[in-house]
Amino acid sequence: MAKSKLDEYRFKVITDPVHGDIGLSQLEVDLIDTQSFQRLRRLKQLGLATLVYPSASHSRFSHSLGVFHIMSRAIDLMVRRGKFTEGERRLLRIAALLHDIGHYPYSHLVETLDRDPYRKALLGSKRRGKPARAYPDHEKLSAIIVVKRKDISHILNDAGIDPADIASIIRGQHSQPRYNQLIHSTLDLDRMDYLVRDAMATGVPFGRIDLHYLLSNLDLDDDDNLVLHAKAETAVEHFIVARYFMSKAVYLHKTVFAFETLMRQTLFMLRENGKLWKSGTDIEKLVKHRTAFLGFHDGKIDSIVEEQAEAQPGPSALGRLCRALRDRKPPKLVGEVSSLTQKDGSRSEELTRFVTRRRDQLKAAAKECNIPIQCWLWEDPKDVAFEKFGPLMSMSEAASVSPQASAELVHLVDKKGKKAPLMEKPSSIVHHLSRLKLQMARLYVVEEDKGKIAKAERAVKAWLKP
Amino acid sequence: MNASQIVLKLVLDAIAQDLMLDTFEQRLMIQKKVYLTQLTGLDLAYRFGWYLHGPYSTELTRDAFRLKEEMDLGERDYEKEKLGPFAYKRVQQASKIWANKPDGIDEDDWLELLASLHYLKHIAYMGKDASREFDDVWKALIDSKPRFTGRRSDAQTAWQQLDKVGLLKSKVLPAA
Repeated sequence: MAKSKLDEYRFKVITDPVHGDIGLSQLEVDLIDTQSFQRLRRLKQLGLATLVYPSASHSRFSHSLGVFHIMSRAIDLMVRRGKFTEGERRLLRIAALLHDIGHYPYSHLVETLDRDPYRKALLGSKRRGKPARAYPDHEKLSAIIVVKRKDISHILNDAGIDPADIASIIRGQHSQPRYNQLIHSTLDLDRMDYLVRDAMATGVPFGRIDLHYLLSNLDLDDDDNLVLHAKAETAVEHFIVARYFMSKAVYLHKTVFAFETLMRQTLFMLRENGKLWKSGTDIEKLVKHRTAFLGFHDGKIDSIVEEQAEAQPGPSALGRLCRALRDRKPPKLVGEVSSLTQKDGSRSEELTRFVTRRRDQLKAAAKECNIPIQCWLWEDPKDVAFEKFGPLMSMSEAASVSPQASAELVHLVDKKGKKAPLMEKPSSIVHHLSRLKLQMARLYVVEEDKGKIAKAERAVKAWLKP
Repeated sequence: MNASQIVLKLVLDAIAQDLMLDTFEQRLMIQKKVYLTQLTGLDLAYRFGWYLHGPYSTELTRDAFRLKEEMDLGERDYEKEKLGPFAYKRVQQASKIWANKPDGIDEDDWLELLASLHYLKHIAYMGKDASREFDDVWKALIDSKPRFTGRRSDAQTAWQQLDKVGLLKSKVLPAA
């Protein structure tokens, strides 16, 4: 008997704790079995959160398979509706599978190393001349891997698929906008996987959304945007609110964030000292290298940190930072202001004071407390919003912001096919919460002397006075 | 304000573009002008995907709204900063890309045509054997943007403008 199309996508079945069975074609299994894809097993999905939640050591490999599974369900829907052909299904499943293959060790901590203007200004830089090329984003690395790394590109070419075709979908650069729209999806399919997976791994209950109900209520509007049936309203409200709680409990947890900001400062200094890839050009070369790339994972960073923890002289700031990471000595929080702010209201005065004075007076405080400036960590967590554009504009503005940006809001479709953003529905809690965002500013020190810590706390407290 | 928002504000000032976000056309103009400004060789780290209205960057939308919000709250971090000499020199070249707008074409359409034709010529995947000459690019353009269907001559004018400044032969502006 001839095999059906569904059999083709169940050549192998992987059991996943979040989704159950994940079916794969032979081609997809071949891609997963490459060295380039297997590298994802050596990247922790939650990075340094494992220092606070000991079981949170799950990998990007399992998350990638999870997102692939969710996307494949959305693609199935498109094919059933006649929006995509069988050939397109094959192409898009592969793009979904490979779209995160370019993640950095410790992911965003390394990828966004160049994005803090104050770090360079406060710590100074030994670099002279034309600025080095910033590290490329991970989607660009994914595209390079797909096109240039032979283990992947040969498999694709042999299957009659142009690697550049897949790479362009991953980067959102395909001349067919609907491919880009699906992979860079309107409904955050990536989040649907990570909330549940991270909740399971950390033991924190807030991310346990009703994933299966959400997935079985996925639909498409006339412009091929993913939407949800109105009957899933409660499930989608929970999905939106879950991210807020997971952010507070895990992603922006005081100590998780402390280690993340410590790692970023350490990486910055390691790079200044020539111990880390100098520029985006170095990274791109490495990604194309047959064997060196296989070592581009969390363990590489860990080993550099461990080596420098010993190699740097005792009192050096870099040595202190490396040892704090290696020995799990959390930086001490000496100041924090957080505020859940109304979109229409101004930012809390206390938060503004804290941020401004921290920027203007940090150097003086470091001197006064006799703690090297390199041992102060001042990075702020990203604002947490309930909807991507909610806190920034009125409801009617949000709906008309632009087809692309508006599509990033969660839309519900009723039985008559009428579509509307959830945040425009006054009876939904998202309508009210989308006006809010959580803003935080923090300051940590890497210091063990209790007297110096107390002095730092007093200095920072004084900044908060009007 | 973070680094990218500060740089965005300095660049918008340098190309004389107000940070107006009230209408779709205003937001589109910012998207396309920033896209075209990056073609001077000044990499602002905005990555543009291909969508129904041409090159579009989610990060740019986010930064523009955040920047506007911060400015409305009275933040003026950018006043202490200025573009470095390299960036300043490059950004001065930007306006020549969208110069020579013919009468009868709205500015937002002109910018969309220039940015979209450039994107299809140099960046978008159009098939392994696509020639990326005008006819190919034009076909891909009206495939995704049917509203331009009757405006082939406008597209040809924009194509000629890209040619004039060197953006057909090269993906970014040749160094001055």
